[in-house]
Amino acid sequence: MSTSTASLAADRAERADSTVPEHGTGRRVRTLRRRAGMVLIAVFVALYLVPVAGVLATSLKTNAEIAERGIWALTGRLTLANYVDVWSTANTVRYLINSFQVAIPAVVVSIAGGTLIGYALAKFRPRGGTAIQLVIVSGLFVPPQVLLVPLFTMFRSFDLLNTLWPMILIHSAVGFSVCTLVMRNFFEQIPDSLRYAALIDGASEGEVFWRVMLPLARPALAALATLQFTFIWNDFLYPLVFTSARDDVATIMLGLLNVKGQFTVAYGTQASLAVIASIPTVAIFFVFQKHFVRGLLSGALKE
Amino acid sequence: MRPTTRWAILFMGPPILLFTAIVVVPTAMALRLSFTDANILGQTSQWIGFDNFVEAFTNEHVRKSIRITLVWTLFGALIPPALGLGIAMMLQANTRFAAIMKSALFVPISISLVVVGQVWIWIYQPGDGLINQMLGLVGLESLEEAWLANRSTALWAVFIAWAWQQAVLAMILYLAGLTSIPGELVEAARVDGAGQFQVFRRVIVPLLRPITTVVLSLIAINSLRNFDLVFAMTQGGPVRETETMPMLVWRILFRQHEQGLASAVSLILFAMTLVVVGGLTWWGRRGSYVD
Repeated sequence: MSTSTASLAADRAERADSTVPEHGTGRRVRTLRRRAGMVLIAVFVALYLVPVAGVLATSLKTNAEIAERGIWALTGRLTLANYVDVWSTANTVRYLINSFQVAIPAVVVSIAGGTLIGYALAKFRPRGGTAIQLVIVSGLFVPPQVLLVPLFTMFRSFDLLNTLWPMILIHSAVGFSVCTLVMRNFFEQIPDSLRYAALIDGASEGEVFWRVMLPLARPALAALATLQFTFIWNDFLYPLVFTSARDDVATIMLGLLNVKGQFTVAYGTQASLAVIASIPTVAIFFVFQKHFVRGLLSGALKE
Repeated sequence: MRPTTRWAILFMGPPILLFTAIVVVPTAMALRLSFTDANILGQTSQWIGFDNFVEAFTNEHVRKSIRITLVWTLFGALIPPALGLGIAMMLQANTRFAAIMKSALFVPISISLVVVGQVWIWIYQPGDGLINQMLGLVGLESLEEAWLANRSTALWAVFIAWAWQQAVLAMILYLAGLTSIPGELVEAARVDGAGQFQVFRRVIVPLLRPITTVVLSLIAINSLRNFDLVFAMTQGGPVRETETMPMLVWRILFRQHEQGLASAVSLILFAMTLVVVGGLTWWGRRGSYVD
């Protein structure tokens, strides 16, 4: 709604502008300004387009051609050979499956837990709730490096090193911080009368949460899903620490990092693996982009 | 016990247990470790009081990495938000081009820093790197440089790659903030005779303050945590010129195997994060028009 009023106002302003008689110099200044604006926009488009297009183009060139003419050469035949190659020879498929096996449970658990804590804090208002919230939200500020040594010792004693469990558990728990923050703020905005009305109708607190509140929270949940999936999918620190000994439990980001470290692996191969690794997060962002912005703001602003 | 308390325990209990096991207890363990001389995994360790913290603040490598991290955070708080606001204002128009760009700009923040690092390595590398090729094209071969291997350019080279991504994060948030500014306010200021710059300074910037607080907090956290991109691009080199604090902790842990010192440095980083974000939150509340 505010968008439409803004554009209406802009329209009105424009019309007001055009009623002012144009003098020669005024027009020239305006044309100059518009030209400068165009140049700025062109520079900025190039700045963002070139790196992205560079990876895509490199992934579609043969390694021989890149070796001969350089990465950024504009010429060359395009081929899917690198993709076929990466898909069939390297452990790519295994890496992708591993990444999904970490990301999906961790996204679900972190959002479920954050929603439960956030709802309880906002609606049940237990004694000590503020302190609980403070501790959980402080998790946002703990650098991962603080946790590495204790967690390493812990996972080793449970014999979980070189499995996917460390990543699933860590991302679930660490994710509670942002999910609790966003969901508490979300439920805080929902009037209590809604809950009381349902309770008077005979629903239990659990039913109110599940049947009334959760459906309302769908946009916030979608935003968190986008945020959490991207964050977990793109992480490579925990896999690097906890699964470095076995290639078959590596996630796609660790696989990509390892390939990058090997100088024998050609650029075309690296680029196609990078594109494959990026597809899931880019796709999710395209689908959920509107929710993402709203969710991020609702979580961050109302605190 | 009130019935709502019982429900609260039922709802919060399990996730809080997991959070305690994975975040709270390990943080406490790290705090304990930071007062010991622990160095090989699993070996029992001696209590040495504040020695690790004294070492951290006197050791030249630790001090240098604190400096690098602070400089990074300062410029991180200035450049990406400014760029992001600029881009957001350019894309505010309701044109087809702006709509396409807004969607396309989700790519830089949805891709991993490993990928970002990889592309920027290709941009910076000597030989067929993009920058050097362009310099060659316009006859400036003398300025060609191994940008990531040169001690005086490496840090800024990595910073630019990082700012490239973070500016988009700022842009997305500012874009949402700009659409929430009522057009009437801008119009009223114009009617009162405010020029474009005055409208920007006196109306838009103050109204965006809550968003600015969010943007600065997020970017400050990302600055202080900056490990992924440095690891992907330089691993702290050349000669530790790009060694941010998280990168240094990594090095102390996996090359020097000094867990006590590593814990101390990581906790200093934690404290720095709390101070910076606390300060920003205070700043945001103090000047906020809307509450």
